[in-house]
Amino acid sequence: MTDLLASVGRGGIAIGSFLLECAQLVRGFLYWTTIATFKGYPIRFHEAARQSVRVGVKSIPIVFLVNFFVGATLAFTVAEILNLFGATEYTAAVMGVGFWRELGPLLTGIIMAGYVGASLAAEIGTMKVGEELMALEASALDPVRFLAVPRLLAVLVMVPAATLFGIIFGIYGGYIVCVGVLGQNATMFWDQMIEPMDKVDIRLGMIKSVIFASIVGVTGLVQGLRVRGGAEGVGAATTNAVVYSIIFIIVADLLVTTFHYFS
Amino acid sequence: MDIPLPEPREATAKGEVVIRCRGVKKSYGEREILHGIDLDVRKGETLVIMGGSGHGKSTLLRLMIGAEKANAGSVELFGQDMNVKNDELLYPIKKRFGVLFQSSALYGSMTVGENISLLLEEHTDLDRKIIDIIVKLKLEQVGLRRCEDLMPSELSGGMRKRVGLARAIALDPEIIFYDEPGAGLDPVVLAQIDQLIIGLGEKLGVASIVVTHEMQSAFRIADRMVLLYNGRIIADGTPEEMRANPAVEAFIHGRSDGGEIGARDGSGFVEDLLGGK
Repeated sequence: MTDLLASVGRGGIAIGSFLLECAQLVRGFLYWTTIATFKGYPIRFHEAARQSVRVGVKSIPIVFLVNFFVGATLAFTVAEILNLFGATEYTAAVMGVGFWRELGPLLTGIIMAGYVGASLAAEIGTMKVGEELMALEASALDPVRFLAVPRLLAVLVMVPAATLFGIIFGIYGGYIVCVGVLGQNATMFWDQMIEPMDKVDIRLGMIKSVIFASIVGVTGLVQGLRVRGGAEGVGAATTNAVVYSIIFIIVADLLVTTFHYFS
Repeated sequence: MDIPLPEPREATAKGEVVIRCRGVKKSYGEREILHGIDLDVRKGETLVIMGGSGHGKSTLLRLMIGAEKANAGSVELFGQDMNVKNDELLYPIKKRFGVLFQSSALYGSMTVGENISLLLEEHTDLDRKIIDIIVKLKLEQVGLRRCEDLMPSELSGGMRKRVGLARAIALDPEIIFYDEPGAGLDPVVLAQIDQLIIGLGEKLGVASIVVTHEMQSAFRIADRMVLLYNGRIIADGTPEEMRANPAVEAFIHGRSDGGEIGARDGSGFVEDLLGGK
């Protein structure tokens, strides 16, 4: 019992210190993107653009693959259930609302946790082990301004953009199944999909995608910055970045959806 | 073990004091690494800090460059206390020194040229063309030419050190710190790096602080040497004075019979081995 309490206590302290480091990174990000720009430290937009290609453009194939296939699978499942009630034509409506509100942001967020979060942690962690971060600090270059700000900006722009693509790919997967396999009318599919949707669905999906982007970016960067030791530390940071990001994304998803439901 | 400590010694060179350490203590958790270091370094002086692994050499260097903060005492560079919490206050000081790291610490995603030009772009208002010329000049100074477009991964260990050195002198610093400059290099390349360190000291008049345990190299480049043992300076003098010091001699020859430096407390091992039984 004592051991259990001790390990729970240790876990709590570890999570607490991690969240504290996340808060410090966010504070640094806000400082270097606002106040510091007036002190003669411009944001490194060209580096942010370079990172955007890495974060956004290169992740499109995997975002397409996952969302498209889940969309197609979901269409089969939903159509089968709705068929019991003679309401197969509403498959498109479920696809639209489901992907805009939930599946598009969630799937893309989890893909990005694995694709971008892990890569950020590994890159920054390797730089730390190789004394590159210390070299930056010794050269009067703040690692948060120099490394974290461009990467976080790229993630904050490109993850919502990838989410938008993910939603479109997912719905398109459903469209192929409904129209191409189940023989539904194409025009009716689009009408049925758009009809129950309102601005709230789109806004909710986009709000979630920005929150998930923040989680993926901050978690990956903090895990990289706190690396201790050598290759083993980098490996652990990479794993932690993915695991922590997925857990935080799922918890944040529930919180946002619950808040939306009761508001 | 009581080790007689030398009196804090006036530096041999006549320049102004650029680094002043007083009563510097540093701990990691319960373990105290530095137990009160007093040290002055003057302009134009090449100081070699020697000592075995884990005796505090690199820790002292990290305190001097502001990468870590002392738990007690003060470390001043150009009169500025390096123990301040706000790193932005140290930026003007950090622009006045360069560091060659043990692993060279070149930025892996940038070319050799970009590694050097980065500091000039960030800390000066120089025109792009001027920056490109300075990059070529700095590389020439360390004996490299036409390698601006290479990536760090394409360089040998010796070339990486040279590029690291070119980056360290990019802003014409007044102090250069070298952390184990000979680590991983063969004796020929090490001798070349030593010549560069001597040459830069003579040509640029900078203060050089070299952390090393390569003894041949240390005696080749030093104006003055200190020996760290268990977080204390136990010897401080010119290379000639140090050769005559028994503690230094024991360290140089790696002897375990050379007085306090080689002495080792082996008591209590059986208790440790058997868990106190």
